[in-house]
Amino acid sequence: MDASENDIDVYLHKHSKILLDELDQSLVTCLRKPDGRGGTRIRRWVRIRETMKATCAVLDQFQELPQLLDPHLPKWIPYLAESYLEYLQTRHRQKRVPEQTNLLAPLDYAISRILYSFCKVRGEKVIVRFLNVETKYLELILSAVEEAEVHAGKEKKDFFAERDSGDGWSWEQRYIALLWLSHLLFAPFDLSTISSADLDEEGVPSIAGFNWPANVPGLTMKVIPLATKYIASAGKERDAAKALLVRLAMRRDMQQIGILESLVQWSLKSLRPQRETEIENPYFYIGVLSFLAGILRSSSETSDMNAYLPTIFESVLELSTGEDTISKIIMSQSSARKMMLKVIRSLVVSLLRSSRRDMKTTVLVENAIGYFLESLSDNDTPVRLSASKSLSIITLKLDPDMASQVVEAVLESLNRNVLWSKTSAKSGAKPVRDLSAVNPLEWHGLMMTLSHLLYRRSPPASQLSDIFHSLLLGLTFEQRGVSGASVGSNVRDAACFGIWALARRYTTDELLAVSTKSVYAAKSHPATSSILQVLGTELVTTASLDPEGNIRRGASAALQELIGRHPDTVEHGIGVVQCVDYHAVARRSRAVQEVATGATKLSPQYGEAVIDGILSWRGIGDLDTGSRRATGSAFGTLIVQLSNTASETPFSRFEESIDLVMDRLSTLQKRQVEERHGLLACFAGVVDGFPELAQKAQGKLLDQATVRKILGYISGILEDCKNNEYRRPELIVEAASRLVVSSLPLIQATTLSEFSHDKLEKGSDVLSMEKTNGLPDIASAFASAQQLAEMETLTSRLRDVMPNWLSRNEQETADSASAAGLMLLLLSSPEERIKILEQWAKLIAAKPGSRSTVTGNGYFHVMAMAQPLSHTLQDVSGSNVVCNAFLERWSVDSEVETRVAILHSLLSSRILKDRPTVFLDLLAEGLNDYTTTARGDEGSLVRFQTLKAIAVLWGDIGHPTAQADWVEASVRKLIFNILRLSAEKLDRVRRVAKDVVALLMSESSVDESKDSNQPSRKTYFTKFLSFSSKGYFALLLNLIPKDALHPHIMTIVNSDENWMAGLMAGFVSSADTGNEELVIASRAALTEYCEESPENLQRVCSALVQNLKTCQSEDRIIVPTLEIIAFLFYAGLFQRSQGISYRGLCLHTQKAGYKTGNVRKVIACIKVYGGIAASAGTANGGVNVEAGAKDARKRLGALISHPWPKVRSAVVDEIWGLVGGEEAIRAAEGEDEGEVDGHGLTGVDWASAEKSQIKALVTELKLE
Amino acid sequence: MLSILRKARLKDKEMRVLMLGLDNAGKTTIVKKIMGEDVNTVSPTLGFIIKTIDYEGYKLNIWDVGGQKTLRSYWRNYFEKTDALIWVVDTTDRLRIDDCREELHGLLEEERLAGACLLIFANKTDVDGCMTEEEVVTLLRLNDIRTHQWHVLPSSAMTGKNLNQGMSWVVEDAKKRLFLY
Repeated sequence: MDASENDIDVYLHKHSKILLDELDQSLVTCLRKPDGRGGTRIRRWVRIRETMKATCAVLDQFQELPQLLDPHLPKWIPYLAESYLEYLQTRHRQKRVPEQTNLLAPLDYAISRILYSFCKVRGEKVIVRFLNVETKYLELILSAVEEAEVHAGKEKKDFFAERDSGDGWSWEQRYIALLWLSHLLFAPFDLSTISSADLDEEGVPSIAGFNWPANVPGLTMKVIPLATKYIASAGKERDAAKALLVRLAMRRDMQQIGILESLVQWSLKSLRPQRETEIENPYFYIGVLSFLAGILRSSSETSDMNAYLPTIFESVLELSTGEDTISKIIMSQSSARKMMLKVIRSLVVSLLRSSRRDMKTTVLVENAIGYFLESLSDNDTPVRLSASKSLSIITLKLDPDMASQVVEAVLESLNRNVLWSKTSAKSGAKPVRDLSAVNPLEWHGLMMTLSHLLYRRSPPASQLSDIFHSLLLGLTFEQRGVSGASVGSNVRDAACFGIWALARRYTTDELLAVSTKSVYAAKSHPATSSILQVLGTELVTTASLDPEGNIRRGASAALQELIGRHPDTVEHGIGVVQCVDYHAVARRSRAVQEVATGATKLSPQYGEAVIDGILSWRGIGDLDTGSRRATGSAFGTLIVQLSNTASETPFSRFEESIDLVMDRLSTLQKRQVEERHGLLACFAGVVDGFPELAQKAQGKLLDQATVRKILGYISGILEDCKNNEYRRPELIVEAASRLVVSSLPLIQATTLSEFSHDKLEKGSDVLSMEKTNGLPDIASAFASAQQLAEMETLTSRLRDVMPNWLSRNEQETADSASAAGLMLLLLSSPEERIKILEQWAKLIAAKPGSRSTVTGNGYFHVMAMAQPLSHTLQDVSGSNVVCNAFLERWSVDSEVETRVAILHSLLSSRILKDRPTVFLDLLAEGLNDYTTTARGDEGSLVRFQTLKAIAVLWGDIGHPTAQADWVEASVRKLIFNILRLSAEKLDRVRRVAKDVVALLMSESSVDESKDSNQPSRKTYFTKFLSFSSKGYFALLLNLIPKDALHPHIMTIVNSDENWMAGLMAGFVSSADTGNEELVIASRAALTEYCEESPENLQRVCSALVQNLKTCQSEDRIIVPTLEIIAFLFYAGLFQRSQGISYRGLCLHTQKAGYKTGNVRKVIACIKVYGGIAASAGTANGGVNVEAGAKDARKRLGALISHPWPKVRSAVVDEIWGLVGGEEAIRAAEGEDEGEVDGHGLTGVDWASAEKSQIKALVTELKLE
Repeated sequence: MLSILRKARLKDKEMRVLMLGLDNAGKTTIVKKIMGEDVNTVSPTLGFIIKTIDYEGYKLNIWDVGGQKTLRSYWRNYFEKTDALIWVVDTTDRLRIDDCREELHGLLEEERLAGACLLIFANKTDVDGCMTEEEVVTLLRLNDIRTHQWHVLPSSAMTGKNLNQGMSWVVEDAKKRLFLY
């Protein structure tokens, strides 16, 4: 919907030089190699993947701007062609086939692929010109094709299975070879003179339906069977085969011996086969048709084909109406239908070339035009496009009288089935066109034709009036498909093109001659404006409202053309062009809000048109909810803009528009929920505009009667919400509650006499999170204000619908419904308010009895927001009712959804900042939620939300002022958990945790380099480090040792040495069970950190051991911790750490693995045992190393008789490493006694070994 | 839709030429002169005017943009992008040559104009005491331009000097880049 902001072609332009240079390089190096004598020779085999990547992939990028290749083509294509020929000429000398491999491909294959890429990007007609035309290569290539043919036939009898196998050619190869042959047939000599050998009489190949004329040269005899074979293929080679056949047939010498006639007869016969002949595949017919189109096209300037024209026309037309199977097969193919159109087009063009027009020709042309007009409503776009183009080309060649008849026919079809209806009974209402009865496909075809005609300036100026009418209709064309989706964007696109073409092809005078009155579609515009102004206004509307980005851009381009070609005809034309900019319209919300407002500022007539547009399918009727919201608020802005604030009645427009919206609302059907939502959004938008309007009106007041009327409207809408159940209730609830909130300033201005108009703000702003502290004031002001009867009705209605509204769970709806809930509280009397608050508090405090009844998220939101209003509600202990309700619910309900809702409402209100201490326990608990269900780690949602809440809480912790008591308490309580989460394996959690950590970091600390240009560590952290990079993990590890945090936080953290344990608890999960990249990054960071200094190493190791001790019950930490300990052993780091008790480590490991059912855990334990055992004698910093190692060996010995085979294998693996290591030491020390033989381990499948065997092994290896 | 248009434009040999420069440089006069219209009735252009010039079988759609600050609105649109830029310099206005340089270099940095060639008309050379071609090159630091093909021509809109040569340079350059085959 939104057009992309950055353009591919711009990128390509910028980088094209480098790309072209690279391409130039790779073309040479991939195909040739140095021959050792200073020159180069071709490679026989090419590494296919690299070559394709370096060439075809690069070429593909030029698809959009192929001209950039042009300057290089004369160098590249002949070079490729030469290499190809060189390969063909030399390949007979060596026939070595390398071992079957997919990595290498023969050179001719590679070159064909590259050439095909060129053809695809630049067009075959251009590329083929650079191929070698020397006649001597004709036979060479021909025989290569034939040889491949023979090969394919020999190896696999099956034609279809041949591709991509052994020596069979790929379609690219055939395509290029056939294309080349067609080019070589340009040879000026008679083919009979260059055919090397004539075939024998009996060797003449027979082709069904083809009669060989006499004296056919051998070359032709080879080419025709080849081409006719591939013309039936499904791939691209059909095009090349067609080109070859056309070229051959059109040769003068071939025409003379009758080849052309034979081929035409053959193709006609193929299209009209006898009953009994078998039906060919559909591609065959497409190929034959394209051949016919090809010869007709290339003969359109000559009379070569004149004799056949009527016959061809008849048989093609017959085909289109035929009832037999063949016709049906052909007509079911869209490309066949397109080819038929091309055949007829070329045919008619040839016919029209002769100045002599007889009756027969005229009838034929008329039939053809009729056929084109029919094809305009074809189901397939290419066919429609082809038909519209054909029509416009032919119309150019017709005489003026007939041409204008064609235009008339098109315009007439566009008027068929267009109904004009009036929306309301009011007299003078603008008629609205109803396009529901027309065929959108036909309209696309017709609109395209019209635009093509205009582009070629075919229609005479006298027809412009009707053309304007059709274009204006087309510009706003829309229909809903059966599934409700919007169709018709292609019609609008075509209309933009048409207007653009119209603007550039006709003079200002011609266009201005058309009176606005004569154009029925312009009826909604004031009759005084010129037709160009109407067009301009419509284009502005389209550019700001159309749902499709490309159409908005198209309209903007057409507008430029209109204004630039016809200066001073459109009001503020230049300003409009600058406002309705290519980039400004790219994003839809920006188009509707900024562009429309900008244009309205220039002249109100644009605004009026946009407002009309908003009230139609392009605004309120849009299918996209977000767009409806955007248009609703734009509607309000425009009304403010259009209001004449200087006049006596500044609010008249305001009032009118509300009446208009209400009028439209009353006409809606119940099923039109989207429209209802859109209209309510518009209503809210208008009311939102009230504060701005009131300020501009400078003291003039909106009279009370109007306010009462509007409040009455709102009450009516609420009543309607209560009584009616709509299809998508969440939309209605959302829009209605927004409306209620918008009405706040209106009520304030009217009931509070002393309220200054300058202080009015939008309702949604007043009730926003930052300002909730002001709520008590507003409430008390209302309490003392005068009471309007309408207000009371409104309040009571609101109270009625509120339970229903607040129980909705959709995010958007809950947000706005809770704001409406706040409105209810504000409007209620103090006693009433307390009652409601208590009732709601009760509701959210208790967990619902059954799963089916959930407390709506709206309740949580509104309570969190309403907290400032509840100051009077203290219970006995002095704590707040609202806070208590939240805490109570949290403690009784551990449902993930509930917790997320609670946290979300806490963080989107002020309650957290106002009472941080109350919620600290709740937050700490949230950080530790690891609920796992069938859907996986659902607790991560809670952790995620908690982190966000903490980010809100700590929002300005960096300020020196924010050093209240709660800060210390909260940091103490949460910091370790946050460190853990900042290194945990889930990306989502890590991302927000990173944000929280960033809040704690101080701005001042700069990297050691002391380079002033270096960004501070915090900026580096927030801006440049991804949350999965090695640098990120390294920074986390160094966070505290390097004093990266705010000083007052550092003092808190430094008093506790456990930070590393907290960090490690999360870190291990990334380093063990994260995705592969994450494991690599985090492990790299960890080892680097450990190697930096012995202190670091010790810090990490003791933290790991400590976690092992303290987290015994939590497998999610224990298992990765064990794994990482083992990893550090393998990396040779753990052994170097000081002061670790190995015996203790062994003991904790044993405890962890005690009676566990977790295989991963046992295996991790085994790895650690292995590490401990192996470190005997090497770990010089540890305590009790020998004892630990001995214990570890014992444990291994015990585990080798574990009941699970997998565990036993793991143990044996570990022992193998152990014993192998010992042997190596012994060998080095020269005590090669061979007494303990590690090789005793081999040769036995330990997973299924017998007990005695195991026992023997244990004794032998002294593992007891 | 766009590919149809692109093909049609290639076939018709159409180009979009943007005519820019400080105000009072003589852009509109140049266009009028080329079109063969009366050049004595030119008043400052307020906005922009599009004219089509047929030149050697090429259709040059010239967008004559008013001399206020150059506006990005004109740089490209949905249907076409800019193929050539014509920058007009008032060689009698030495005071504002620095402004002129800044504007020009700022314009060339705009990536949406990449791929357009640049013709510079050193205009009003029929007036005595105007800058020479070399002066224009140095003062505008044209040798610093790496991103675009450029060419300077001393011209006069009043006498018509070099105007056609300029057009033919644009067409020749386009032939080389856009309509080669």
